[in-house]
Amino acid sequence: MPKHPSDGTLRRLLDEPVAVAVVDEDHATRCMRCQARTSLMRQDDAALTLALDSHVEVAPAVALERLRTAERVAPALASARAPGRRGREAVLGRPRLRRPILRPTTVITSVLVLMGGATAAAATNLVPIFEPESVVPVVIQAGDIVGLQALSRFGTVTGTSKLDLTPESSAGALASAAGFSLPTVTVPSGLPTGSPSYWLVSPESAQLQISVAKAQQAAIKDGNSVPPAPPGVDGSVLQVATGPGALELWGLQLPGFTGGSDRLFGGSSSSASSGSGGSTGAPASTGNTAQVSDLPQLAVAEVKGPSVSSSGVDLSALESYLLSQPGISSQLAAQIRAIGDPSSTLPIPVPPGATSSSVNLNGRTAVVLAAGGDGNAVVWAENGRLFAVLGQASASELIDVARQIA
Amino acid sequence: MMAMVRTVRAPRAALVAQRARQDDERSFERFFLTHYERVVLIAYRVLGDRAAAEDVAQEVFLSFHGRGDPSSDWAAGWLWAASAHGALNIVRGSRRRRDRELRVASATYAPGPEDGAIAAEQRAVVRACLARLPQRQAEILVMRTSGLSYADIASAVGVQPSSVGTLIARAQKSLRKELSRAQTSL
Repeated sequence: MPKHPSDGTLRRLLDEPVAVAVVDEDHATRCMRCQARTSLMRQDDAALTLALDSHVEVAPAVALERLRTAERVAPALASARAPGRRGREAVLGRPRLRRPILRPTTVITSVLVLMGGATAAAATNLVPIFEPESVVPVVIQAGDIVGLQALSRFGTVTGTSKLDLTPESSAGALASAAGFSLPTVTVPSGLPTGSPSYWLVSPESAQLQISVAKAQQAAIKDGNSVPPAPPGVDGSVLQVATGPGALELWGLQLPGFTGGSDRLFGGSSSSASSGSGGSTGAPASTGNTAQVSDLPQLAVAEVKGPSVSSSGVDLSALESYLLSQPGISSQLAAQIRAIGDPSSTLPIPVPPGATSSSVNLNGRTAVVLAAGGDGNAVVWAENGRLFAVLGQASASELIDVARQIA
Repeated sequence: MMAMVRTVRAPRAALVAQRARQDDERSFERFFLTHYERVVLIAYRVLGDRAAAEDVAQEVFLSFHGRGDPSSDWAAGWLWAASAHGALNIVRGSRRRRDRELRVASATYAPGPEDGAIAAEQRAVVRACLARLPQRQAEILVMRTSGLSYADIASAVGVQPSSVGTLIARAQKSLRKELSRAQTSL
């Protein structure tokens, strides 16, 4: 029995059967399991199609007159809102303040890249392979390679690994810019009251193109050796995308925030500072210099992603290759391999000196990170989005806030 | 002589520019008349309100007009994605409000409507669940149910047509989860 077609192939078999290979069509016709999968897709189709209104009468010529009138009334509107190359650029293409702060997703996505994914993608273009649905803690050892820039020892990293924040004047402005709104939360007593500051987390993406030769050179320079790369790994591309996101801060002005967030989430600043040379990677560090006051009393964030797309490499082979590299501790590799569903489970790095636990938030499992005087955080994922409540407040206070959001 | 040349050339240049503007406007009008109905339909799928859908469509075309090139290969895809994006943003306007509506509407939700009549409450449940999906997943589902081909959707979201099936399947799985969660949350 040939391999079962992917969900995507079955889906297209329903929608555009002529575009599907005959061998897949034959298989889907004879295989009971694939017929069951197809049946489920048909049910999904029916539910959605019936539920959404499908017929509407319009008069385009009248609408065109209406548009012309609107342009005469507000002639500046069209030019002010004109699109860029893509719709999202038009909606999100706003002037930014280049303030790289809040690095947690840098570390998270780095580990995510190390993790690879579960699905072997056959297409030659970048295919989405990961969107976070749940989180699981992984303990980072001193010496583990973390940070996207540190991955430059495995190949060429392009794009940015930083998240930029743009100040917004109000919750409404933030919602408009981000495309979604953060729910209003009641701040626990004892924490700063009043309105928070509002920040748009800009969308960013970075690509890693694997270079086996570069990884070998880096290992040799460190006095180590690396196993031979499986076929298809050399030159393969992984793309990590995050954002847009929304951030609300209580009790902190932003310029002093960078060190604190890095501390809380495991020394990513040292990772990023390893530079593009990347010969030594970036060990997770406990040697931080930021003061506790650099942390906000309370921060609430929702960020789209991180999502990962691949150029079609066999990701199980890539995972095995990356996790066998010097600089990845056997403990970290074992934790990542133990993740049940790596296509949707996001590893949350637990830095040295911090502890982690789980908490149920209205049916969703969240990771609680406690770093003593360095702050606490509650992190969870849902529908491709990462949520975090963090700051100097106690873990129980942060959990109370998180339950208002989840 | 030179003065004569200048006085002759200046009106010609202005005339050429004026004709170019007229050509651009005619091109935009054809583009508008060709795509308006589908842009409205996509927004209407999400909103279920014709007036609101036409407002979204107007915003989409206003955004496009003057900067976008109607003859470009990405133009139509941009309209469709922008329409779905704009409509979903309206639905997402207040998550807490939607959640309340979802809880209320879920009380009467029953999948598989044998009689073919979908109650407004059931539609509200589906829309609320759709609005809770990741933006791109929701957009793709809306565009697919609006009759766009894989090539159209690929153009709109900037992927290869071969990836669209995977994206649709994943989006449907997410929606199924949301609908299930809406039922079990009661």
